Amino acid sequence: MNPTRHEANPAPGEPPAPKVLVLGLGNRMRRDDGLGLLALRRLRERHAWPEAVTFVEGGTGGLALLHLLEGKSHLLVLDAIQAPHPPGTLVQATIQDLEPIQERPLSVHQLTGEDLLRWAQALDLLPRNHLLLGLVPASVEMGEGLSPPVAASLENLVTAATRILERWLAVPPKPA
Amino acid sequence: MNRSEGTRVIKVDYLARVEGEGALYIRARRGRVVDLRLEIFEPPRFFEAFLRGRHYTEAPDITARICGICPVAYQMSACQAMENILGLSVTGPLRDLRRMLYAGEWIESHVLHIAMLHAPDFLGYQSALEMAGDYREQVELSLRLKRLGNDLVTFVGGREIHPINVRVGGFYSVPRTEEMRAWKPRLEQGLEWAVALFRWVMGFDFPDFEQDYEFVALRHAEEYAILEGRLVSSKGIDVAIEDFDQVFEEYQVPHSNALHLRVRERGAYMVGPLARLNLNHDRLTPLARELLQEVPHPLPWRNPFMSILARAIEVVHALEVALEVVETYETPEAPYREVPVRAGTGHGCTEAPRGILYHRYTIDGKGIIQDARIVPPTTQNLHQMEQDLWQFAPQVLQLPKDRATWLCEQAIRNYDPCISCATHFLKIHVEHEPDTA
Repeated sequence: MNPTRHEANPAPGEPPAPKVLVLGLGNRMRRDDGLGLLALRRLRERHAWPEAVTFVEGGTGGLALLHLLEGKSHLLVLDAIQAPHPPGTLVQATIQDLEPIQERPLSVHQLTGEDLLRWAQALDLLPRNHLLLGLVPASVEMGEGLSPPVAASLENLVTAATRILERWLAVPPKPA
Repeated sequence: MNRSEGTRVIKVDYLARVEGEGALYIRARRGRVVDLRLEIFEPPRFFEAFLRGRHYTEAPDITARICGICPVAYQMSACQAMENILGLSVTGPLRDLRRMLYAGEWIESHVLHIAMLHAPDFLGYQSALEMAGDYREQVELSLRLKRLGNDLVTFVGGREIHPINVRVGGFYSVPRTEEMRAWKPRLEQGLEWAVALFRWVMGFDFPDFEQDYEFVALRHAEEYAILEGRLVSSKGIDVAIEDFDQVFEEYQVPHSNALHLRVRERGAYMVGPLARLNLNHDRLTPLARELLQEVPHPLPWRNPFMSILARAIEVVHALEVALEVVETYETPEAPYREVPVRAGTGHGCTEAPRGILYHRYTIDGKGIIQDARIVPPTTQNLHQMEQDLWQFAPQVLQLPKDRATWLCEQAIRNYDPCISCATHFLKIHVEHEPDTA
């Protein structure tokens, strides 16, 4: 069975401890589409994060990932993001920044960070504190390895993600 | 095509991150469909090349990355093909664990498609998000059921998105008997939810649409085939999986890079839940078979819209399979079986949620992959999907853009196509060329 953790109740008057989900999305067999997964790995390995932070390689799990949001107070999604900016540009968005959409996918395989936020909101699973963070991709052809502009910017993404987690946790993490 | 002949083109584009990966093209002349082409991006070609030169033990993990929704299917077909080469048979509790793992994937995949994508077609919603607001109870029940499927995959597979515990010959580690027994109450609860989901879906109105399909599925001597069986069809095919290429052939679609499959000298065929149910209903688990009796449509079901009901029955079946394993499982002596590597060619074919998934590998004496072939269910269904769209298209030509798109999408959604590597949400638009006749 899955291990269950017994968590101490917060002392009266203290805010409940944050429960943070960091989710990397994408397909690493499609060049820059895998940038969210690579950033997730770097982020996770760089610091000794407290147990309150869960890192999940969501990959191409699509709608199958929705339940991971249950009981979370904070959500950080790392993904490749299409935007009218040069490849490698750091982009961030919350649900308020996204345009409403009408289309429906043909398959449950299809889910981007944007879609995840929309679905989570519709099902009341979206934490108030959430952020979609990523880079504009240059190439999503079949193949491994990042394009040069995205590879050069990956560290910016990891740094930005670290700052956000530090703010959410209200304490800087210890180095790994 | 000559414009003066009154040509009108309807184009449904999947504008994925890489444009032009897939699209539906309908060309009509004076109200008649003259050409129709469905293209869906097919990643296996890339993976086949990627696999060459790799060690045979890597195939299950690499191919599992083709699909984030059905990694278990890829792992099982790959393992089976390698075990076929090595002369290794996986039986007893190790096989039971594979059945349970696969059941988890069926539950997760089917429930998502039923509740999140397919149901809105029957309930008249353009958007599934919109439906989620009005059918909150059903959506939440489905999410709980899907979660149970996820948890089963995590329990046996070690991780839910890309399971890591699977290997050729068995697993890296196996659960203890008492851990397995502890699942019983959750699965019994899940079975109640699955019955509720089935009854909800059974109340839908299914559009009148029947075709003379050739259904193809695996057939097992005792079970509703998932892990292995013979290849059978509703029009007389009955061969071992090694003969896959004897009965099916790939052909190049004109004006396209796509390869489709057909039954040799016959044509399109359908794989997936509807095919399985029609061919193997006598092998369903008891409750699943009982529920099937409640459906007022006699078998075989030749209406692709009823695939949603076939999926709902298969969810019940999968839960009963998992329950059976939970009740009978005994911890195996070793988590896997191992034999010395030898050169050869092997075949694997299992029932992915969307239908038969065929793998063939050739390895050398050191276990290095020399050749790989992967035929996913969606590739096999493409030709049949086109045939359905040929029937749909005449009605669609006269309709406004939104309605036309919606109907075409429905015909495609019946097949729950796997578009795992088309990484972005679809942005579908219909383009009408002015009628110059």
